[in-house]
Amino acid sequence: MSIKIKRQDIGAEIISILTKGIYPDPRDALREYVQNGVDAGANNIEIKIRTDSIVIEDDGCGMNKEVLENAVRIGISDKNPTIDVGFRGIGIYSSFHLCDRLDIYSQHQNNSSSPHLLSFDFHSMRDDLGRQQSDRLKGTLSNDKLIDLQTLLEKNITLKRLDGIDYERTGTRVEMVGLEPNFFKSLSKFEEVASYLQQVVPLHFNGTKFKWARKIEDKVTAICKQRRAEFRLINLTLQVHSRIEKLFRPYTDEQFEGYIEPYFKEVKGRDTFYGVAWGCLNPERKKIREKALRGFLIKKQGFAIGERADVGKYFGRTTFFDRYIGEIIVVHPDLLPNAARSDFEFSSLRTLFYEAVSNMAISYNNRANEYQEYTKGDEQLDDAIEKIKQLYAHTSYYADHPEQLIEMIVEIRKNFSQIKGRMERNSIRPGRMGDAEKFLKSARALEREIQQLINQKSKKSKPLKFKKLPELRLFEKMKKLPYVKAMEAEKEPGNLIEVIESLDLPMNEQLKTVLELIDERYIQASSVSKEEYIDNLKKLKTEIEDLLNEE
Amino acid sequence: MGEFVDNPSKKVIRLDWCKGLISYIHTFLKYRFLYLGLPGIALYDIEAWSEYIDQIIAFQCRDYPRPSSISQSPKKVAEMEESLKALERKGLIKTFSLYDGYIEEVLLRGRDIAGNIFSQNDVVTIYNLDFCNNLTAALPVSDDKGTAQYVYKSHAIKKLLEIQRDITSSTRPKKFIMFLTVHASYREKEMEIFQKQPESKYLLDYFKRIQRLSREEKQIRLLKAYILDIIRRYFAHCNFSCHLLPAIYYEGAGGHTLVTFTIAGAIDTNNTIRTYHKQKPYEFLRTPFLTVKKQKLELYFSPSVEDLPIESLDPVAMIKDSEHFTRLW
Repeated sequence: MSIKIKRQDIGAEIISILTKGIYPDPRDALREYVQNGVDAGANNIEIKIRTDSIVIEDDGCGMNKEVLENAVRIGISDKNPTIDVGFRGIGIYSSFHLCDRLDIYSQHQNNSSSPHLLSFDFHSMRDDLGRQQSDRLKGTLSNDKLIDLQTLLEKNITLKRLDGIDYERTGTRVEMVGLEPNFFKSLSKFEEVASYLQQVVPLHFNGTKFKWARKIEDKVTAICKQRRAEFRLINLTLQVHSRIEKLFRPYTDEQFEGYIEPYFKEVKGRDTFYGVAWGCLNPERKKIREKALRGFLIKKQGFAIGERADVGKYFGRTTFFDRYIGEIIVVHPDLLPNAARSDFEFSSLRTLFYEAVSNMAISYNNRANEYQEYTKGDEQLDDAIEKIKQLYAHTSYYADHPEQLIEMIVEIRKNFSQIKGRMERNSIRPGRMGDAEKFLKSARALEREIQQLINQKSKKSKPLKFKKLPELRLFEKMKKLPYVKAMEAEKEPGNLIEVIESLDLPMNEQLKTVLELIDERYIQASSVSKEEYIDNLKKLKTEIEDLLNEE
Repeated sequence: MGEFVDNPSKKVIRLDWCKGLISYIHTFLKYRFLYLGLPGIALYDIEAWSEYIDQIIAFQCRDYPRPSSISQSPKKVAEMEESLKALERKGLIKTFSLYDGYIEEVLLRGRDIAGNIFSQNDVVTIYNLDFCNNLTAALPVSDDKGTAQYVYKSHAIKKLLEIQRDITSSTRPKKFIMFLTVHASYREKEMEIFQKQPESKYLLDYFKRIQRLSREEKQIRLLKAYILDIIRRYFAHCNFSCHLLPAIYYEGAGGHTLVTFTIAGAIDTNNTIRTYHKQKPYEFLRTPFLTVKKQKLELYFSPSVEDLPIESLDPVAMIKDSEHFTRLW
């Protein structure tokens, strides 16, 4: 037997509970109204934050009377989940706790209809609920007298027709009036609002600040088009008082130490296409400068799903993840975001999707590994060439010091075997194999010369005789070694804490104290000079980096 | 400020004087303007000039003439915001920003009393500074570091020009019109020093010439000379050259006598070290006042102090003929 539900069975409090839970951040309301604009096909959206109000205006198709009437419903939406970003029928209430009144002006693109104003008196709604709660606490209100949801909404929502002159433009204008002071403080900081929107809204890439902007937009658009999916982008202008700026995705060249072409990868299962990922790798073996931008962010129809850190786990270890900036643009119509946009709704499709993300991650990891192995190879080869040149230059100074000469041979062999090993493992990029060959020959030749010097010295019978002086004999070989461009000097660590901080390892005050102690007792104590101390710190840093990479 | 009520004379100035000038400048510069000023809740000026204005930066105090306090009701500020939003909804302006407090305190503190940071995102083309109250006392203001000082309305002008000078992000040329309205009885401390110790011969001569006039006639001429002096100094300090059109002396709301000054400003790119004003000070001092009678602009009967003829009462013709305009605009 089915149960009959009366209007009193759905209490008005549900609206407060739902909106508080789904939209914990006041900026979520901005996202929700921007999302409505995107669903209305807007190309341009403006957000204006002022002393007592926030305005979000779009140039979308607007809403007529019927659509506005339906918009007040909760949990029922006219939108199509496979096309539209918002479809749960709750977003319109996202500012319930943020402002006293929500006014929605809308003019439908069909100019024959008049503009309308849909008004929500949230202040009165909250007052009614507050009074009810206080009466219940006092025990002066019985449960059958509680306000039901329908009554609350009917009492506090109005829809009226406007003269064309009051709102002439096609589109929708959302006004949040009478801002709650506590929320307003965080919303009046331009940077905070901008950085939130840059992450969650489908903005264009910044063509003037990000070298790959155009390439990524074009490529992702092309892949989506090919797959009959849409990659929608909007122009968003943010105004906080008099500061007005057009917002773009937050990616800039400054995040990288050089340029390397973005890598695109379709995210797909055996028969299913979920979307496309793009990723830009930091060419140097370093993390992306800004922590908040490291890794990949999942986006559905341009709106962020969860946070970057959530994707990290699919990369196994975060070493390479942190060296990428990227996005996973999901276009599969059946992957639906949950109401809080923290993930997709649980489904078997979601499981398969994350499996595809794992495969995608392997691909990005391999690419990073391959590329950065080459980069490491470049660095080692350059270091080895520099070292050999230096040893060559010092040969004549130490001609009378066999101990020094032996040390030099040890050094040559160490560098020789390092480069040879890399060549055997194919971890010297093909373009530099020639340099590596030249290095090996020069190193061999130098070793032979030094060996001869040692031999001559140990016989002690005859004075050293050369057909040519060593430097002249070797000169031709050394000249063939490639010129190594001096690498940009990395900031020298001043102490152990700086080493750990530069590696972005978690740190707290307690750990700092421990590190200071280790630094003083062991590292400083084992170094005879400041140079040696810094050298030891650098070595330690490289070792920790290698260790982290191997994790 | 704030309590300002529209009256017929104001309307004549707004429509027959300012609007013509703004319209011409608009045709000349070919873009819609950024307006900064104290429009008052009724927004008469804005509505009259809206076809030339894109963006508004407005100031509204809470409880005139008392010093601002967070404990005062922000009702008037909210009303002003509502009025501006109505214009925005109608599509008459593109956007606006509103600061809660007196202009001089907002500019000095760098934020309004609600804590909003003041910023100017582009070159202002129209300044409309209606200091039309009879406030003569300086406003006590503490900046963010807690330094307390008394500020006069004139300090706001200096600060605004400094901000205008420092704007770098715009492609708009630094050319603008400033309408400055002050109460005829306006006095401030620096004005007294100015009167007692004139720094130039022409001022000394001018003060001698106005000595024999009635108290009120003398006061408006003293005000005229003082405003000329601070405008020239402040503009030059910020590398702007200025040109003043005839001052308009008239009766405003509540029987208050007001003087409206019209100043054209432009950056002098030819002289980067020192700015020279093309207009000679005595040219402005010897130009007669205008006034509003029977809802028309006319020459103010001048007791022989001002002897330079005015051929036309059209501000466009006046500005077009000026050396400042022909050389710098």
